[in-house]
This record gives sequence, structure tokens and C-alpha cells, in this order.
Amino acid sequence: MSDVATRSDTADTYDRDAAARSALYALLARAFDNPDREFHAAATDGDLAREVDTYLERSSLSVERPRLETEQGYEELCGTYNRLFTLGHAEYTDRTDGSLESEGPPVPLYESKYRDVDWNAINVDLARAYEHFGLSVSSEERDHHDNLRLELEFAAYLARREAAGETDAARARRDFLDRHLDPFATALERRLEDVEATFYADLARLLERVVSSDSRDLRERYGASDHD
Amino acid sequence: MSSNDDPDDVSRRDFMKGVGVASVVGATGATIAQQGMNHLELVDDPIGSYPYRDWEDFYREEWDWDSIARSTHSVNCTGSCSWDVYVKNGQVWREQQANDYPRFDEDLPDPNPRGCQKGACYSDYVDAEQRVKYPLKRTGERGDGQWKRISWDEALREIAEHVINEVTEGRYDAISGFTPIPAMSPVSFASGTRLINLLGGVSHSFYDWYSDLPPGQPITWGHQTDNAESADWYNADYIIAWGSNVNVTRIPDAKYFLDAGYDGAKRVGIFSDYSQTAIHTDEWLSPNPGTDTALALGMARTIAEEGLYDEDHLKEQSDMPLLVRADTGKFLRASEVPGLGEDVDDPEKVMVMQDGEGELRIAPGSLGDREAKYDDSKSIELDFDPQLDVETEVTTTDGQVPVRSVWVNLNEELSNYTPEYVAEETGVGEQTHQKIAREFAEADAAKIIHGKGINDWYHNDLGNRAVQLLVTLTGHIGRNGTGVDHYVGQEKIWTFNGWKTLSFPTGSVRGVPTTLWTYFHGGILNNTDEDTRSKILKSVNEGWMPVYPEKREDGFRPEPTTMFVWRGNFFNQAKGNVAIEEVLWPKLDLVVDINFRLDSTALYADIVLPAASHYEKTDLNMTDMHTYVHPFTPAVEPLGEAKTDWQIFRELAAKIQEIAERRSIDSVQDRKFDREIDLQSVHDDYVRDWATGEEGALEDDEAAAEYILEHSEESNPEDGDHITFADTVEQPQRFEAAGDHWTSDLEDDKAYAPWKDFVQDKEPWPTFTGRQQYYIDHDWFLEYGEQLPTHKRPPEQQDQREYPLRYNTPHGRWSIHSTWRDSEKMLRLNRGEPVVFIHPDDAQRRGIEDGDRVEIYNDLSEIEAIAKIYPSSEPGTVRMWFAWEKYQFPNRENFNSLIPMYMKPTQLVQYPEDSGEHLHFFPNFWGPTGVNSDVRCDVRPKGGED
Repeated sequence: MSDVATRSDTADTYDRDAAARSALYALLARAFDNPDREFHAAATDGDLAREVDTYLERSSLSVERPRLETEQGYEELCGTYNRLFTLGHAEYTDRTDGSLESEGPPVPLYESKYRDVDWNAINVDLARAYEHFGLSVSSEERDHHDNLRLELEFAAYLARREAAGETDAARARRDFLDRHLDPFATALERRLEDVEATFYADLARLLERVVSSDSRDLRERYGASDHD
Repeated sequence: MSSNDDPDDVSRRDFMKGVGVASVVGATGATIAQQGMNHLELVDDPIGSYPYRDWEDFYREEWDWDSIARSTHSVNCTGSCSWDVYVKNGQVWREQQANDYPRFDEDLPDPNPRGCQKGACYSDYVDAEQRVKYPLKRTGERGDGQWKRISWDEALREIAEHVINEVTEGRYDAISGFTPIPAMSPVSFASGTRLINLLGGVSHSFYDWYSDLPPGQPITWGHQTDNAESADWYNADYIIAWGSNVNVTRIPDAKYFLDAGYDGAKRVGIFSDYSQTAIHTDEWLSPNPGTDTALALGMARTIAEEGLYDEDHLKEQSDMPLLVRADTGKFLRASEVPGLGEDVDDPEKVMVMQDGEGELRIAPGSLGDREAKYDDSKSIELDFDPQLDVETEVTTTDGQVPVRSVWVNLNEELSNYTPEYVAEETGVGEQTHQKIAREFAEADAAKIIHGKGINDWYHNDLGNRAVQLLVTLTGHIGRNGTGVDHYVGQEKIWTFNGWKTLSFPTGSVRGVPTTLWTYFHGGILNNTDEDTRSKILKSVNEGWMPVYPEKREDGFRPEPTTMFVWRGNFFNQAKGNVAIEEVLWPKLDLVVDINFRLDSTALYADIVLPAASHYEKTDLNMTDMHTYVHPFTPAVEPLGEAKTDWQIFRELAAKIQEIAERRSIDSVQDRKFDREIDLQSVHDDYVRDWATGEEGALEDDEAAAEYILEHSEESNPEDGDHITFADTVEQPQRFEAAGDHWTSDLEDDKAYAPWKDFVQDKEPWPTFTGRQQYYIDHDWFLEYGEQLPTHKRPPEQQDQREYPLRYNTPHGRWSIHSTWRDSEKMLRLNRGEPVVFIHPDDAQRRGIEDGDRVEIYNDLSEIEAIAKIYPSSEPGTVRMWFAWEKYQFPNRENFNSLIPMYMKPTQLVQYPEDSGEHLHFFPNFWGPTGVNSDVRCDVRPKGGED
């Protein structure tokens, strides 16, 4: 099992621990995107869980993998995904006091919906972070910067840069997780647990565990934060 | 994305893109992780060049931007306000009112800025997490909310296959397209309408369907509607806001109403409730609900009886001097009077007056004395003095016949509206309504802003006609600062010809009155009273009103099968929605909704296609509230896989053509029009500029917008400048001219005000008589006693003893119909969920307190809402400001579930019956209105007893 000790500081080889974390983030990015038949097959026959296990083994993260399998058929899984994450109905959240989740789906995949900060503040922060590291959102399929998939891709990207030997990228990831992905993942997991226990609740558990474990490790390595 | 088994072979740059990461950690083969790295793009190779820096400048840059685009909002908001949209990092961050409408009259208040609180938060929709981002196909029952993502190719193929089948089976007239109000985004309107026209399908009316059309205007003035732009309010000395809550529903224009007051105009509000506009007026009249007609006719009686009318205007411009046979109730025609009408084309359609010497004279400009409905070669100017007060006998081909002028008939009708009766019926004081009538008549320029409050009743035509009568009697029409301005769901598009030919390139149009279509296919026809039913059938059989699909030669009429809905929320907004859901909807094999959000229609559709939002598209925007055109321009790319409406329908046309060519599908002869429906050329036809014949010219949205501007008199007149799309992006442009569908010229330094062609230029009015026509001698009008405006109480849809409260659903402040009804910001500005406004007495009697959850019910349905105590209401009426989505109610019954569909037979006629120049079906010009105010209900605490 690889760990931080195997990290290389040379430019020609890659730190397997950081690369494994990058792969975990990338896998989660795909997993929280709309399911296609290939993904459904992986989530049905255990390939998804096995792939997660591979990355967890290669990383130094201490994460207990949830089950990560679904018995739902493909169309049913699509229905679950769209109902939970994408379709905007106004839903009553508490009929006793009439409070209303007026817009989005039950479990939106956008960080700003879970933070006590407005959309602009979250997205400006992320836009500048992506931009700072030379990334932009694909204009082919435009999405908001606080979309979970984009945040996970960004975490994966920073981890890749760490794997390639950049300590600064690891520190940036520490801050990014602290500022964005950690509270987002925690809130998402709670929301999904409230809504229903499904395959996606398992995925959210994995997400929360990976993020908090990665975050803990980064804080241990680099301190709590450079800017408080 | 490739993988590489040997980590050392992975280049740094590829590794940064995610290539080989899995293999670096020892995973082999195609992995899930490999698919998780493609939405963020690497702009350049930053390795080594960016030391990690502080994030300190992030918040500072929130108010910075990369670009500003000009756009606006609207599918269904007729405010037409130009906005600047601020973009940074490919996202919309905020919007701000553009402030550059050019002034055309320095004496009027500055037109800048325009906007409201809904527009100011539209970026929330653009950035919303509930946007429809990719094509969806239903996997559960309609409305279940079970969807799967499908590719554009799958979606278009499935729709194309269905459409091809319908067309080749001859059921092209079972394909319906519903989209409202073209002026607000004519390219988007034209997108689907153009394809449906090429397919031989059916285009639905909307102005009459939503009861926005004031039927009294085509009945009296022969014209759909024509309004002054709102700046003209400032030109009035006296303004009555009658059932038009301008402070709520006309926020960008309300300043003219307020400023007119500062300039000395008296402003009167006529509202049953002490509305948000009433509180700002000098005098508020509160008629009992449904009695506006009695109030207007009482005012008319005062004006007539006290000689406050404009006699010259009535003699030249109205039908008041025309003679009516007392024996038949029909107009006396020139053909019936020996020796009269020898110089006219069709003396049977020429009316008769009596001059000062007692001689009978023809009424010049009557239909039989002109070429067509509109004929500017004729004049109604008189060289004799027609008498108003005529009651005599004339010698006709039928012998001696007693006749009376319309004026005498009218005065007889008005004599019913004594001050005592008016006070008793309307609740407005005997002196009050007379005082307002006198002031109105004596003002130099007086105007009535006429709204939904009058127009939503079953007898809306009578209400319209009674209110119109006030401006005709007093001559307050055809000049600036006068008239009846009806601003509800404006049908009117300035660039008419460009829009029309873009939308209906074949010129062969299957238009349908949506109220009738829905009545027919929603099974309501079989549940209506026998008189209405027989008249509906007569209207359809006589060909006065069309219903599609057409009856086939063997007498069989197929059901509709297919519905496209875009820019609208048909399912949510339909009156009689219980019947629609239970009877009409199951008949449709395929419902396609094109939308940027999942509204109720989308939720109950089969396929939902993701549409670009207002900040992601190119289009034009205009309104009859003002005389400018300005654009939508794409500030950002459409979210996810969304596309513009024009692109969606163009690509659907391409898919249909592709399949048709592959299968060599023969063209189909249209059974009604002399044309063949050729599926093998439908895309080529879609993108061809039919005016020039240039192939492929209309591929993109901007080309379509340019087409509209180029082919319209208003933006490209023969003797004026050509407004291009680029001009509109630079600055909102005032139109160059008013084309034939307007009733006045557009003057450089004046606000637009209608009817000058007739009042000032003396062209015949486009009515049967060539004049403002208050007497309609159609058999059905005579049968119902409605030949003249008369007051009738609202029909009782529900038993008053069982359902003692009236139920009213006015336009609200916090939404534009159902749009913004789910906006969190807007919901936070009111109670945030369906809420019913109830008078304190009505609430107390039922044990209801403010904030209680209540049930509103009648014989049709039951809905749940929060009660708000509303002391400004009149007792006996509850109000639910619409238009909450179905899914915002616990039982998915919505505000419309309590409302039946009912239709007034007099709105189904053709007049004259044989030729219909005055009244004939034309979508949004003349057709039955879908009214909704004559409804009763009761309210109880949730869980309480009836």
C-alpha cells in the first residue's frame, strides 16, 4: 500500500498516493454525473466498488467504503438520479410551518444551495480559483462553477499536480476543500440521508469520507490554513 | 481520452488532463475515473509558472466583469425592458436596467429606465440548479417525475418518427403547436410555428384563450385591439384605471400614471377591492364584482341625458344616426328603400340615416360601399347633417316600416340605468358615478385604462362595449391622451409582416381558436347546456369557427395526437384544467415541451427539450406599451446541452428530412390547401429565405431576426431608415413607421395613440357600418338581447347558497404568470406559497385567522392554501393571485382547478354572416375568450366541515 512516503519530488515520476486521490475524485465526479449504461453496469456488477477499492488501497486515506451497488434497473436509476439531483420542483420541506424549498431539486448538486452565502460569492470564489490554476469551464456544456462535478474535477486536478510534485497544489487543495468541498460534501451527505437511502446515499457517504479524510491529512501535513 | 499503462510514459501535460492517472495507481482497463475529467478544461500548461498565491482579490472582483450583453426577459411579460447583463468567467453575475431608450418627446417623462423586480433577478433562473440541461424522456407515468437523460439525436429521432407517421397517415392537422405572444420573442415564436406550418399542423391562438382579447373592441371598432403607448397617459387630463392594476401589472409604465397626476391630471380608480393602484388615485369607486357594465351604462346615461356628449363625433363617427327597423331589429338597408343606394356596389350592406330635411341618405363607408374591411380610398365625412333622434316610419320594399335610430334605441336602453338602480346594483353612490361621468365628459383629454378586472367575465364583451361607449359619447378617442387602452397579454407585434411570413412561410395557415379546440377535445361540449352546445355546433358547421383535426369526408373527426408547447405553460394555465388533464391529455400520443425549467406542462410531457434562457439567445423584443425594438443577445453559452428554440426546431426539421430522404417518403397533398407537404425538403424549406429564394439563409437565430426587421414596414419602411439587428444592440430603436395593422401613423415627436386613421383622416371604421358600431344586428345578438351594450349579471356556475364566495385569480406582483412563481427571491417577498386573500368578515365567520391553512373548494375541485386576511377586499370575494404551479399544491390541483370552461355563443359568430368582414375568425383577433371570473367557492379551515 502506498503512502505519502512514496511521494517523489522529481518531475518524471508521479506520487501514487496523490494520484490515487486524484483518481478517487475523478471517479466521484463521474459517479455524480448522469448515469449511462456503462456506469449502471459498473454499479450493478461490482466493478465500481472494485475500482474504488483499488484507489483506496493505493492511497493513504483511511476510508471505509460503503456498499456502492444498486439493484435498480437502468431506467429506474436514471429516474432516481434526475428526481434527486436535477429536476426543479417546488417542494415543501416542512408543511407544518409552510416552509418551502421553492426552486431546485431535493438534492441539488450545487454548493451554493447548501451554504449560507449567496450564489455570486461562492461562484466568484470558484471561478477565480479555477482561473488561477489555468482552468475554465467547458463552453460546450456550460455549467456553474459550484457544480459538484466541476469541484470534484478541480480537486482531482489539484491532486494530479501534487502527484506531479507540486507542494503548492496540495496546499491549494487543502484550502479548496476547507472553503468549498468539505462543507459541500458534508451537507450533501446529510441531505441525501434525509431524502432516502439509496445507491446515491452510499455515494455521498463515500464522497464525504474521502473529502474529510483527505482534508484531515492535508491539514496534518500543512497546518490548518495559511489564511485565517 | 486515452490511457497509458506505463506511468512513466504519461507526459506531464497529459497527466494534468487526467490521462493515465488510474494507471499510475495501478488500475487497468477502462475506468470510471477516466470519465470524470472532462468538464474542466486546461487552458494552458501552468506547471511551474504559478506559485500558489493568496486568494485575497476574489471578493474585490465580484463587481468586475469581462463583458456586458444587452438582453431582456420575456416569453410572456409584455413590459419589454432592455437590460445590461454582466458576464465574468463565462457566467452571468448580475443584470442592470439599460438606460438608453432615446427620447422622442421632451415634454413627456424620460422613458428610462424600464424594469421591475422580476427582471432584476432573472439571472437566478439562468444560474438556477433546476434548469433543464439535457433532453429528458419520461420513464414513468405523465407527471410522475421519472425521467432519463437521452441524447439530442435520440430525442429528435423519436419526435421525427412520430411526426412523419402522423403526416404520412394524413393526421398532420392533429399536430398542435402552442406558444403565446410573438412580440416578446418573435424568432422563438416563429421557430416551432414555422416547422408546424410546413408540416400542415395547427397553430393555436392565445390572446382569446387567456381572455386577454377584449371582444368588445372587434365588435365595436372592427379591430383586434389598438392601444396608446403608455407614455400617452401623460397626455391625458383625466385617467380612469378601470380594473387595470397598473401599479402591480405594469410596473415599468406606472411612472406615467403617477407623473400624469403630478402634472395635474385627475386619476380615478375603479376596482372592487382597494387595490394597489386604487390607493394612489384621487377617487376610488368600488362597484360590486361583475357590475362594471351597469356602472358604465349609468355614467353613459348621465352623459346622454345631460347633453354632455360630442354630437358631431356621434353623427360622423358612430352608428348612432343609423336607422333600425323596429319590426325585425335589423338595420334598415339601402336595398330596402326604393331609390336609395343605386350608386353603391352592394346596397344590401349599406345602412341608412335621415338628414336634417327628413330625407333618407345612405351611410357612406358602409361595407357595401367599400372594397373591403379596410378601405382608405373611402371617407365617412358627411356633407349633410344626419339626425340622431329619429323615430319614424319609412316606405320600404316591404311596405311601411317603423324605424328608430340607434341613438333612440340606446337612450331607451340607458333609461334603465337610473342613479337609483346603478347605486343599488353596483354599490357606487348615486351622486358619485354621475359626478365622475360629468368630469370625464368635460375633460379636454380623458382616457380609460381598461384591464383584466373587466375582461375576465363571461359577459366581458358587454363590459367592454359599455366602457367603450363612454369614450365614443364624449369624443375622447382618436387623439393623444384619449381612448380606451386595454393592456392585457398584448397580442400586438409591431414588425407584423416580417414575423408573419417567418412564422407561416407557406401562407396556408391552420389557426385554431384554442378555447373552442379545448372545449371540443376536453369533452366539455357534451356537458354544456343545450343552447350553447347547439350554437357551438352551428358555428363549427357553418365554418365560422374552425376545429382541428378537420372532419373527414366520411364524417369522422380524428382526435388530436401531438402537441408541441414552447414559451408557454399550457397545462398549468388552462381553464377547465380538470377536463384537460382527464380527457384531453390522454388523447395526445406525444407531448413535447421545450423549456428552460420544469414547469407543470414539462412535468406532464413525454419529452422535454432544454431551451436556452433569455440571456443565452438571439431574438427581438417589442410591446405596444412603447414604440421601441430592442434585442436579446447571448451573454453566455446555453447551459448544459440547451439550445435556442430556433436551433431546436431547425434540427428537428433536419432530422425529419434525413429520415424522409432515406425512406423516400412521398409528399402528401394537403386536403385543405393547394400545397404538398414535402417531408424530404422540410429542413431546406425551413432555412430558405422564402422572400428571396436564397437557400440556407435562415440557419441561425440572428438571420431570422434580421429577416423580421427587413420585411416589416415598421423597421424598414419604403420611405425611412432600415433598422438592423446591430442597430438594436447599439441602442433600443424607435420604430420608423406604423404599418397597416395599426390605426394611426407613428409621428416623430408624439406618443403613439390609435384610431386617428378613422377619427382624424375619416377613413371608414372596419365595421359593417363603417362607423364605431354599438348596435349589432346579428341574429344571435338579437336573440340574447345584446344588440346594444346591456348589463347582465354573471351567470351562476355554482349555487350561491352552497358556494357563497366569489373566486378571483388576478395577475400578481411577484410573478409574470407562472414564471418567477418558483423564484426564491420573489417568494420571499410574499407568503412564499399558494395564498388566498380573504376579507376579515368572511374569515371570522369561518373561524379562519391569518396564516391558517385553508381549503378552497367548489363542485369541481378543492385546493389548499394559506389564508391572508385582506381588509382591502370587498366582502364575499376571495382572491388567489395566480399562477402557482400544479406541483406547488399538495394535491396537485391548482388555482385553475376550481374554474370550469365556459364559452359565450355571441363570440362564435361571423358578421355579416355570409361574408364576415366585420367579425370572422382569425387567431387572436376574433374568437371565443376563455373567461374565468364567474366562479364561486367556499373556504374552510383545513380539515374542517363544509
